[in-house]
Amino acid sequence: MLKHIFSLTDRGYKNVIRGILLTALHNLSVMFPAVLLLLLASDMIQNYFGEDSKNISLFAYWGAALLLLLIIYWVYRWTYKETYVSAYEESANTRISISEKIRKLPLSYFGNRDLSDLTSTLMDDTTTVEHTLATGITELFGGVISSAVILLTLFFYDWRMSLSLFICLPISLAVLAISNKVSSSSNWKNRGAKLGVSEGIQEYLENIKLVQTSPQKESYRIRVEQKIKRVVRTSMIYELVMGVFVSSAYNILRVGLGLVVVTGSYLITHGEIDLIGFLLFLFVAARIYDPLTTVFFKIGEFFYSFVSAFRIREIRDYPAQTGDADIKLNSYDITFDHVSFAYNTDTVIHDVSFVAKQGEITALVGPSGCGKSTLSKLASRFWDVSEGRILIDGKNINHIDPETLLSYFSIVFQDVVLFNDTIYNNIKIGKMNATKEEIIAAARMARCEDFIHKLPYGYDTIIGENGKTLSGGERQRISIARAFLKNAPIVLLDEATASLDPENETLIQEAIGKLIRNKTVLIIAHRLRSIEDCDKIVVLKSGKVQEIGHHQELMELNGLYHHLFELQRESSVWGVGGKDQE
Amino acid sequence: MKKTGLLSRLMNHAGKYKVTMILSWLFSGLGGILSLGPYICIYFVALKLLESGKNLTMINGEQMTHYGWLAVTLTGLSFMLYGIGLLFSHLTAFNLMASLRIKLIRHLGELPLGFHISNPSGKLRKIIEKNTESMENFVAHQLPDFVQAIVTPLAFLASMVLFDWRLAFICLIPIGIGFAMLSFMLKGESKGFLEQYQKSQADMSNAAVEYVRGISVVKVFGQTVHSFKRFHHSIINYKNFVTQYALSMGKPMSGYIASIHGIFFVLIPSGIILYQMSTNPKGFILSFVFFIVFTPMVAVMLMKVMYSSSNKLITTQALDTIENLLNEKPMPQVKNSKRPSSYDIVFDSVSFQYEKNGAKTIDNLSFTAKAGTVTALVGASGGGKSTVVNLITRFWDVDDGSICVGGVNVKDMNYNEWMSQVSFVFQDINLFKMSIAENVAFSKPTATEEEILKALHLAQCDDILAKLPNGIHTVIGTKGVYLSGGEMQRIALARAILKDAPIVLLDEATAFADPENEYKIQKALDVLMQEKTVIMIAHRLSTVTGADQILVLENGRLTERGSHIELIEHGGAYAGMYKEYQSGTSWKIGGEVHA
Repeated sequence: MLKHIFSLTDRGYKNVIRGILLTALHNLSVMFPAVLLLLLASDMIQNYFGEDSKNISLFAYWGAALLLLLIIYWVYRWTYKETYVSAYEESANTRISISEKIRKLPLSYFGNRDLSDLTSTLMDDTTTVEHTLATGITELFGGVISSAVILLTLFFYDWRMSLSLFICLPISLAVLAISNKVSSSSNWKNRGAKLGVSEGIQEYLENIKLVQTSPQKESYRIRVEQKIKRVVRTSMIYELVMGVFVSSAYNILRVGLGLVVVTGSYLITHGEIDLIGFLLFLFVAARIYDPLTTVFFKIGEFFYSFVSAFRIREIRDYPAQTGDADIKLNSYDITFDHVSFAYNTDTVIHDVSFVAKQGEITALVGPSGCGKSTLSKLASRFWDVSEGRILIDGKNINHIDPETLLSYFSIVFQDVVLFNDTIYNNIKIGKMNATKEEIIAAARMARCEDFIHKLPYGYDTIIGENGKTLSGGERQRISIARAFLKNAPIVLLDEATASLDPENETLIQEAIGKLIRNKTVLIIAHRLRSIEDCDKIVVLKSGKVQEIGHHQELMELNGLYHHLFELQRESSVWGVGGKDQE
Repeated sequence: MKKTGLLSRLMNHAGKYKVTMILSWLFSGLGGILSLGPYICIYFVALKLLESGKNLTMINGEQMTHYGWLAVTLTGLSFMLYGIGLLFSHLTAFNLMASLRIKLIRHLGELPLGFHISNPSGKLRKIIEKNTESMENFVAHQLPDFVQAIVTPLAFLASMVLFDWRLAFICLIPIGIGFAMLSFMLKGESKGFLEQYQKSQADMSNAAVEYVRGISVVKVFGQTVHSFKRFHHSIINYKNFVTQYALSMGKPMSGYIASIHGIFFVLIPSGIILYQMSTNPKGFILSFVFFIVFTPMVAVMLMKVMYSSSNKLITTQALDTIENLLNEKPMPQVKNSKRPSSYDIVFDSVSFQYEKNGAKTIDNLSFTAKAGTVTALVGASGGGKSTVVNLITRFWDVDDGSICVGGVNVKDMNYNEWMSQVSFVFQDINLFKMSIAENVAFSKPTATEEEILKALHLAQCDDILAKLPNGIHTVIGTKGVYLSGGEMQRIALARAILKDAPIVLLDEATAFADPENEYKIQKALDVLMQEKTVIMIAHRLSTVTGADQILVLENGRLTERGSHIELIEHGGAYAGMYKEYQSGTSWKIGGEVHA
């Protein structure tokens, strides 16, 4: 069961079990000296009463003590090594296997969980599980086992005394169980208030420009401050509720101490137990409760880590995209055949059919939210269609392994992703075995050279996290250079030149124009002027095909395309101040 | 500052909760001392047993029962005192956390915006939330536990000395060894371990972000292995580092455990020897029994000491970060704020650079933007257009030269007053999770609903309101309320229109808007800009042709200035750019661009 919950490897599972047993052994090992001390005390008492006048052997006792000390030391060392080292090992394995799994997931998965959420699973959740494995589980189960061993031994020794010692344990546990239920409402309230603080602070910081320059600065900040103050109250209430329950449970458990004395006095006056037996239970009563309470607290931690374990498992169990990796594509017409696609429960693409022909440029246009980008992402299996099919070279792409399929695509998106590496390596991503000449040629075609030469180390300049040292236009040019380098037979351009200045835009369009001969090209563009010459324009509205044709046909149709084109022409000549330039 | 201890720094921040903080220690300490009570009771039970000698049946059961229940009562009492201590400590901790957070938020609100641009919100939020949380944890739990862990052994020691000072002294030996081990381990931890640990964790975390973010690219280019390598490497690095560290601590840690559990090892021989030498064996046996009962507590207490001390380092570091943030210099407040006589903006030989030894972002820039006119900034990205606007709003302050408004240097104006004269529309728009009305009225809290509606109407937002369930009272970000980028931009424009400030700064960004939105945004801008001093950053030339003056910036320098017609006639860089733009750009196979 543990293995499933924490998705452990066989080896990891074995290590956890070993860790538990070792911890139990450690717990027992530190109990042994008490027995030795008790034996000594008993010897002294017997010696004192003269029942047994034999001398107490210093060397026997000290020797035994030395042995016990060494056992404590070695058992702990062993436990320590096993639990920590194997927990680190296991969490590294988990991180590696989740990240391997992540890249096999359809990109639709990333739409549901954002970047910070996924990385928090990769980092924080695995750390939580790592802690649980390193200390939580082992101490919890080890504690349970060692307590059980002690309990059983004591029961064999004297069941009546043992019963008085532990009779309060179930009551105490019951109180703790109830506390979870009772406190849950204040716990939720508290969590809600904490979440409010997070959101409040984040919003405050994100909008700091606006906040600082607004007359409402004070009043807005006070709203955030109130959220912060509210947490003080909810947290206090939660702590109070929890505190009352936990301390009750703690105290109820310790009533056993009194019961041991009472029962012991009764039994000893009736001659049913001897002095040493009574003393033994007194000693045990003095030291057994603390480790037990530790176990209590570990239970909470243990359940807490379930949430993290669940999030890890969720990724593990998510179905990966599959397909044949050996399929070869020879021609590259893309056929959309009655394609529908639902994003969660919203259907965003309705029954779309058209063909993007090889050797032609097909443009997708329409108002934002019409489904243009979705269609291009369906063609590259970033998402899988809900109904209908998409064919390339007559083959249903759902049967093609995503990575194999993508090897036929060059894609430039409007959101560019760059790595914290050199410019050279960032371009090289396009084709790992590219020569230096090829990379420089691609960079030149994508008009990267003029800014690369301004950088301190040229191509070897490291560009920071996601290329943060570069401007939007520069980032986009790098991503275009990658696509040039890859030079695949199908080209997807999603607002590929939107953040470029006009001069570069023209030059790059020219370069792309040379590149796309005899290729299948899908273009998404807001600026309709740039697609006037496309072979086919697919006009979309709310996920449906509204019009298909080339520019002239569509203008004559006098429909949506015509309307959009006119609007754009108007706003582009308007200029500032409403001064008409025409 | 570094020299004062963590405790006094925390006391400083606690303010009036200093009292509850001290109370929490007091109660927790008392609880600790009282926790010895049950052991003493057990000792007395043992005493009665031994005194009765062999006649066990003659034992006074009632008296023994009395001790038993006394032990239970004392446990309860001690735990209650500890509980009260914890209540005080939590009260202190939560209030300390809240007051630190509020201090931070207030302070961040006073810092120049340049600070916020170079420090991402995620990072700052983490400091505000997580670092104060570790203060909370330290004050609420570690401190009272630490007090208890110190006080209880002292009380324990005192009572041991009362029983038998020789045994007490001997017991101190393993405790001393334990502390030596502990300080050895802590030294190892402070010796750059934490830094290195955090660094390898941060490396892994950054690699994870990059890996996840890059998955789409990586898939497209079939480079899964490549990008994975880095992340894989950082995971293994981290594992090796922590494993190595854990292993290096194995010996001292085991030594520590063995010594705090190992009191018996010295107690046994000395007990035997002292017993054999003793003139009062019964008394000695009793003392010995007392030690047997008591010594296990030492281990429990010393474990607590260990946990609190290792947390001290982390807490100190967290507090350092917080205090560094609080020590960032806020924008200087101006006492005798001057009022501008007009809304002409004058740049006089302004220079500015972001980094001390970096290139000049603005290089000796002079120009005048007359009130009621439109000034457009054009030029390649990186030319310094955005910086010009950021200097006017004092996100940064100029290094050389001056920026004056109506004859008054912007540095000599009260910042809030100055900002009330300026409206801006940025590229990155964020709306608050409030109603549309509240979002619009953010720029003018006194606005009536009519004014808000009018501003929304002028900003072409009627279609947005029509589709929202509760009109202007719809809360943004609630279920089903989704606004596109273009729509958010129009609402932001309504905000600026409502503010009606005499100066308008515009970072035009319609590149990603669809035709419908672009058209409406354009119309809203026209309303906003009427009769204002406008400075706009233009990314596209179509919108600047009507500007009164166009400034062409190149590497922070002004290369051309004039109206559209003038610049076209001049035939310089602007004319070239415009021609390029005019020629139109259309995708075409074969590369002959259609004109």
